[in-house]
Amino acid sequence: MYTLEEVKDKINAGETLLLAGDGNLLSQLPNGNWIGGTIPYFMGEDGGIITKDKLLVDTISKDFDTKISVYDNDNIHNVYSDAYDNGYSIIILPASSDVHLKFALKAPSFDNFAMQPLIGWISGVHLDDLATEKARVFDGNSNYENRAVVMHVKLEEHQYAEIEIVNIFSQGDGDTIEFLEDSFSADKALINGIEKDFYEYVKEKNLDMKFPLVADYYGTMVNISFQNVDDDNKKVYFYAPVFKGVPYKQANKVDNYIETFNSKLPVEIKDKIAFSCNCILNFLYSDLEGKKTGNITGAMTFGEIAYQLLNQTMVYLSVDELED
Amino acid sequence: MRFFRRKKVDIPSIDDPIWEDLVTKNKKIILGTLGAKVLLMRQQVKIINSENTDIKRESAIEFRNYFVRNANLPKVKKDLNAIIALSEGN
Repeated sequence: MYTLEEVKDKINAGETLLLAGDGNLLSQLPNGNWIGGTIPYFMGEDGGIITKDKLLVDTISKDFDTKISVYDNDNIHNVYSDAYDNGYSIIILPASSDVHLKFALKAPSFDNFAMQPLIGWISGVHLDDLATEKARVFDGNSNYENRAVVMHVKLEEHQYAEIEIVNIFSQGDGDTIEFLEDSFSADKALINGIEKDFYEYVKEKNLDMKFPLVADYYGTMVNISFQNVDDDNKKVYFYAPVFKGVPYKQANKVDNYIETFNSKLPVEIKDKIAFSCNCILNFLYSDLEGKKTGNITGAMTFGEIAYQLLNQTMVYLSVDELED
Repeated sequence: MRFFRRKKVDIPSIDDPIWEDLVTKNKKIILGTLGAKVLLMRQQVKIINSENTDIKRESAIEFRNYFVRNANLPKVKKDLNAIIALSEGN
């Protein structure tokens, strides 16, 4: 974590940076080759921390060509196609913005989806400030509440980038749940193949909302977190969209987050990790303030992106050398 | 100055039935690459939710393109070898 003055010096020295921190600090930074997003929650060098006084910094090597692109609802579908042929892209989207919702729902249908690594996060605000502040993103010059910023990074020919995730959750042995449409909310679902009122199902089963719905993507577990149950409209809301045709099960309970998480950390590639972030829900539900999860640092965000939007998951990108 | 030469990897042709078998779940496979996993899930969901008669072929082409573009990556090579083995019935 760095002070405002330290980050100013880095930008003025021409460094290429990925930044996360309070909007007041980000707004004071000079123009330069950086992107950033608002968030006060971090996994720092000394453990989980909530701060508006320091910025999290990831530095992109000066050896790499980069380009910064800004996307709105009308061109976000180009985000995968705009990537360098041999490279990766880092995206930041403001929470609850139209472009966030469109990306979450439609990304898998965009041209060139998953052809090149796209990783990133959803910017947010301190939970005490939800009613008064809006999440923002920065492109090294301007800031936006309803656009996504992306840094496309071109690697050298002998290098490659790879995205992985660390997810402490796995599918439980309960009911199989399928949804009738791609959506951030549901009022109906197929429970073991039979259509039921999903709101009533959640109430009857008294589902613990700390434990996400989990889909099995060929051995990789992909989470969708519960946001809330709307008693007035009898709907269940999620932090990421559920997709029609994907079978979900609620996660098994996890007793000790840190122990489970640390057992899954990729210790052998720590030095090769170029970017990482984790989920604010993991921070909150597992009370991570002041506690360390391995040696990997990053923002604790309102949503993680590993090709598509995920929840309650740590995502990371490593850069490695190809074999001759 | 270091020179790097990309190695050529044999990829089953688009006419090999393995690609449609994978995107229609006729054959199951364990993949190691996250990109291949999310893309395969995307293709399968697309087929389930579409009435387009060409969708299987289109999805197979799209899935195969991932391997064409990334064939020099170590984990992708392993996935390709698994696909080739499955195609050959091993």
